[in-house]
Amino acid sequence: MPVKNSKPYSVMKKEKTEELFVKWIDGLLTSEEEVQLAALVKDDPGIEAGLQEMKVFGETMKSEIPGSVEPPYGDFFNSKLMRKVDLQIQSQRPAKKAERWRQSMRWAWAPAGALALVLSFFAGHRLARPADPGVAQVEKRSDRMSELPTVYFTGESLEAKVISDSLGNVSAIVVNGLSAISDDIDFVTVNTSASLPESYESSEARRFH
Amino acid sequence: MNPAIFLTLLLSFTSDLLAQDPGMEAIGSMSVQLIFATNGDPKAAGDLAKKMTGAEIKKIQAIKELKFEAYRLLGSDKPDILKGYESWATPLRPSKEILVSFQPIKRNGDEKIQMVLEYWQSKRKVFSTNPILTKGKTLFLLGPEWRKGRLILAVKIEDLKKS
Repeated sequence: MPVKNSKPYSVMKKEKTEELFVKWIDGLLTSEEEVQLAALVKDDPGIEAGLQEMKVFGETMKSEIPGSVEPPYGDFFNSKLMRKVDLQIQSQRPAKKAERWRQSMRWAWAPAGALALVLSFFAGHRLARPADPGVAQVEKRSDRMSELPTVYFTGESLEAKVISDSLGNVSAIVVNGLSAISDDIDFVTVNTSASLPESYESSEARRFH
Repeated sequence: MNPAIFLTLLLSFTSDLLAQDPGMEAIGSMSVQLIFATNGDPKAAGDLAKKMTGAEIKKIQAIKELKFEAYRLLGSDKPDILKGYESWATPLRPSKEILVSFQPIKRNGDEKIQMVLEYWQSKRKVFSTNPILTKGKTLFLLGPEWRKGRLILAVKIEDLKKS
């Protein structure tokens, strides 16, 4: 009987010991469990060395494995995201404007009569006056602003200057901070080993096959 | 005509039409040129680089940030602009060292398109932008240094179908 029972008991003891070890490393031991662990250490001084070793290993793992990981193909992801955002903004702009207009006008229904009276009073003056050139200029400038592109970089040390013509259309983008291409590179023969996105291969296949 | 044959033909044409992806429609073409600009010896660009016309140089020099003493055309490409897909220009073909990808976002009338335009160097995307391009009007992108000069990309909508 003692032989039969000794194996399960030792397995149970081992499991319990391991559980205590893990909790000790994570700092989650209850006071009762601390007593149990102290007894184990007292019985076998080798356990303490093992515990310290495990603690060091855990700390090393924490320092080696980053808390957050960059997603794979970050550039590709960002470009697709940017495109979606552009499309979303453009598709929602008129709807949002209309919604904002409706929201802003809701409060005005009640005093609409009074406002109409005031407006009619000033109407003659407003119609007689020439258009305010300041307002026109501001609108024109904002139109121009909306036509200038945004430049998104994949590197951190880059900067861009967008140059527009007299009509407000973009005519040049000057990008500074790009790493220089090696003078040894001959564009006729150069061939890097990295692969291109699938859309490039599809585009080439459409054009030449 | 036998109505049965007529119906069969009609169905086959309809299925063909439905099978075509409207996003694959070419709505125009884009010209992409790669130019070497330098204040030094333009021969540094190599023997295959071509001289540019006075009119072309004048157009570049109209922008003070792009003023250099000499310009050489390193290569050019003119791919189609697809309605709903990304297209690629390989101005230095067969080299893929410098590439430009582009995709229409929004059509503004018959002459303008807003594009997502991406500049690729050594098979790595360096930057992207979303300009509104006008048919026939060149957008210049001043790029990296090379052999005591700078590389300039000239991007222009060459043809554009009416919307």
